[in-house]
This record gives sequence, C-alpha cells and structure tokens, in this order.
Amino acid sequence: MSAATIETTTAPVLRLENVTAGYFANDIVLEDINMRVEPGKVTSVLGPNGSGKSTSLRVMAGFLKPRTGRVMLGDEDISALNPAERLAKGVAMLPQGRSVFPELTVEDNLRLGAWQLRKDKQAMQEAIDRMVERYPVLTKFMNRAAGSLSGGQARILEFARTLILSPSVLLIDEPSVGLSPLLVDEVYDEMDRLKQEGRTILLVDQNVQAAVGLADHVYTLAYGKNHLDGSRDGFEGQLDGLIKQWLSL
Amino acid sequence: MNLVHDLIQPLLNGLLLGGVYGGIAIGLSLILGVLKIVNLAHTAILIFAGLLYWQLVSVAGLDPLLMIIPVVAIFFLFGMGTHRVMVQYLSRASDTTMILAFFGLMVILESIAIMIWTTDTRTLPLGYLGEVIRLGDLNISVAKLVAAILGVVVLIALHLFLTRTLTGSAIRGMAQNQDVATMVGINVTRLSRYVFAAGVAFAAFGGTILAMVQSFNPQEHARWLAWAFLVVILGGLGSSLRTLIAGLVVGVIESFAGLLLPFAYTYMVLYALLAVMLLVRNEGLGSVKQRTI
Repeated sequence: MSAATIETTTAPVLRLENVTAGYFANDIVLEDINMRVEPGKVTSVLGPNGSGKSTSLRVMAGFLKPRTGRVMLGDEDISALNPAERLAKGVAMLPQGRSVFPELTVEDNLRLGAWQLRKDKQAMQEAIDRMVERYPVLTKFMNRAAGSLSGGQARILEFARTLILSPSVLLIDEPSVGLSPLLVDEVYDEMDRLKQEGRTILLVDQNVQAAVGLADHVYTLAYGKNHLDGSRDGFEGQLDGLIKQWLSL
Repeated sequence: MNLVHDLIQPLLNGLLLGGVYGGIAIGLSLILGVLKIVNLAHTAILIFAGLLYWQLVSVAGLDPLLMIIPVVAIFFLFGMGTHRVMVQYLSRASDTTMILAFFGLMVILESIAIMIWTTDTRTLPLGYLGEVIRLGDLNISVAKLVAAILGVVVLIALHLFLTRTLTGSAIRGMAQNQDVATMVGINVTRLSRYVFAAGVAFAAFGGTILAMVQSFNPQEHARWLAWAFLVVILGGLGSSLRTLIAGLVVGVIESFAGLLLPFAYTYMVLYALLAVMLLVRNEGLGSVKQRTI
C-alpha cells in the first residue's frame, strides 16, 4: 500500500461513549462525553480553553484512561489499551507543539516513528522511503539533528513520523499552534491533502475558521461536556457567535 | 625534575584511576540523564556489589575477572526488581519523594552491608592481577590497568550501543520526550525498567573495578557519591564519552594533587572542584546541559 492510497474502507469508527475522565483523583475534565469519528472523514472538536478538547484526544490515544465510559474502535472496546497498543491498531496521534526528538537525526526520528516495524528492517526502510518520497524536502536533512530544523520543516517531519505506519485514524492536536500564518496555511494544505486521500482525522485546533473549513463534522465542548454537534454546513453561519460566546466563558 | 617520576607516572596513574572513575559514574549518569532520577543509592549499590565481589573472590577464592559477570547480573536483576517495586510505584510522585525513597534505599543497603560485612575495611586479594609491569622507570599496576581498561571498554560500548542501534535511539528519544516516545509506540515503562536495571548493573560493575584498585568499607559510599556526581557534572548528563573524559580529568587532577599537596588536601581539591562546578552551573544539576547520550 502506498502512502498516498489509504484503505479507508477498512478504517473502523472511533467512538467515545459516555466518557468521564480527569487527571487527578477529584478532578473531572471530561464529563459524559460522546463523540464519533467517522471513517474517511475529518471531525473537528472546538471549544474554549479548558473545555476538554485536547483531553478528549488523549483519552482516544490512550494517554488517559476513562474513569467511566468506553473508547470503542469499531466493535472493540480499547479503553484499557495503552498508546502503543492503540497505535498497533491504527490510532496515531500528532501532539501539539514541537514533538520531534531534537537531538536525534531526522532519519532516527523516522525510524522511531516506525518503531513497531523494528523486527522487520526491510519493512521499516520501505516505510521510511515512502515518507521521504511523500515529503522530498526531508531528503536533504536526513542526517541533521531534528532540533535544527525550522518550524515548518519540523512540522513536516512530525507529519511524516505520524503517517509512517499508515494509521487508520489520525488524532491531530492543535497543529497550527506556535506557527507563523504562512506555515499555518502550509499545515492546513497538508491536512487538506490527507482529507483528499480519504484519511480518518480527528482535529482539535484553536484556529476555528480553518478547523471548521476542513471538517465534515464538528463537535463543540464546553466545561468538559458535549455542547453542540453537527455537519460543517450547520456551523459555518454561527462561528462568530460561538467564538464570542467562548470568549465570554 | 625527574620527568618520569614527577610527570609521566602521576599522569599514567591519574589516567588509570580516571578510567575507573568513569566506570563508577556511568550508571548514575545514565539513570539521571535518561530517567531524570537522582539515584542517591548509586554508590551504596556500588559498595554493596564491591563487598559481594570481595566475598566471592576473597572468601570463596573464585577468579576476580570471571566474578564480575555474576555480580553485575545479580544487580541487573536487583535493578529490575527495584524499578518494578519502587520506581514504577513512585512514577507519579514528586521528585522529592523519589529522592527520599532512594535515600531510604541507600540507608537500607548500607545497614545490610554493615550487618553482613561489619565496618571493617576490605582489600581484594588480587591474585594474578597483583603483578606490576615495569617499563623503564614506569611502574604499572596490572590491577589498575585491567580496571581502567574495563571501565573504558564499557563506556565506549555503551556509547556505541546508544548511538548506533535502534534501541539506543529509542532510549535517547525517551530521554528527550517521554510522551512522544509513547506516541510512536515505544513501551516506555519497560524500556525505563531496562535502563534503570542497566544503571544499577553499571553501579555494580563500578564496585567491582573499584575493589580492584582501592580498599573500601560499607560506610564509604557517601564519599564515592560525591566523586560520581563530580564526574557526572563535569561530563554532562547521560553522555558516556564525556563521562569517560570527565573521569580521566578527575583522576589526573587527583593524582597530581596527591603529588603536589599533602594527602589531606587531595580530597579538598576535588570537593572544591565540585563546589566550583556547581557554582559555575549555578542552578546545580538542573542547569547541566543534557546532551545526546
């Protein structure tokens, strides 16, 4: 399978079912959340700061276990699986902020992205070659420390490292945070390309206009609870009102 | 001035001692650099392993080189168990709690060592390692030479492992960003356990090569902890090659200080060096640059 042709028909639905979660004993960040990430679609999660957007991604990726409720991938309950086990099932996460391993070379970053192929060196090399083919700009940086890359180059490496195992579901957290407007456009161009390829994406971003523009379906959260959800078309007319509402929260 | 007596011999002694110091410090550096854990029990483990090694060689009469292997293996398993029982259990606790836990482990190990071996100073019977090689006016202790070579070989082997293998890259990646290491599918808990166990095994290894070159007793671990920290601070966290260089520097300084100053001042020079290093890097260990291992 080439990196540009993803088997979307096999991608299962990822769901949060009545999930309540928090980081500390008496702390509830998400309360009775329901969310559904449809195969081959972009689902955006919006909301004010502290509404639980990134936490919902962390629950889906396995970094935070739900206190109650379930995380379902297709018909399978994956609530108890750790992030590595979820990645093996095709759920990959691109975290917010810089996430390259700065002191490792670009090539080593890609190798670690393909860590789950470590027992099959040929498959690992083929996966790296596919990513270099997809992002040719990486070719000239392969032996450079990832920490020396520019913001845009580092973001490309992060996309490559996340896509290297051809995951069935991509969880993308605040992809435009800390980037210049020009680079934000490039990041969204790349995400549009992923959408055109039929990838399944759950996107969290403060950049509301861009996130809604890319989405097929939108969820909004407030105070850790479901607020609104619906198709993108239903949201486009009410964005200004929503943003004003969030700013007042 | 006698060139050999006043310069080359102390330089050689210092370099040999430095190779041993590198071996003593690398476990501390690895655990601190990768896992961000201040293992205060590092040299208590080292001395305990040295005493066990002494027991096997001196009392049981077993081969001093071969006996390094079982001692290191036993402490690797001890490290695995300690990680499972203590480190993993405290993984979400504060740094202070973790430091206190290792302080407790240090006290426990020292107490057990005193119960078993008393506070007597022990000297390893060197056997065939007790020879001295004479090259003109130069005298080279075979035991010091072997201990230094073992220290250097282990440090270089660790450096190659960390920089040339995929698992080494994973360890370095985990040191740089544990969350992202988890995201790419690395089992951080398991890898951390192996790294911790390796750090403890390196401490035990340090104990065996220390036993070849110095007499020691169960209460001396605090002095060696200062030595190990000095080497780690000089070398930078987690860098095995720099740890080796730092060990050599400390060894050479100690050797020349011992030659030029009364014996009592030798330790003062090295403690002063430690104090200066902490002052120069004025936020203490937190400001030590973390490098690629």
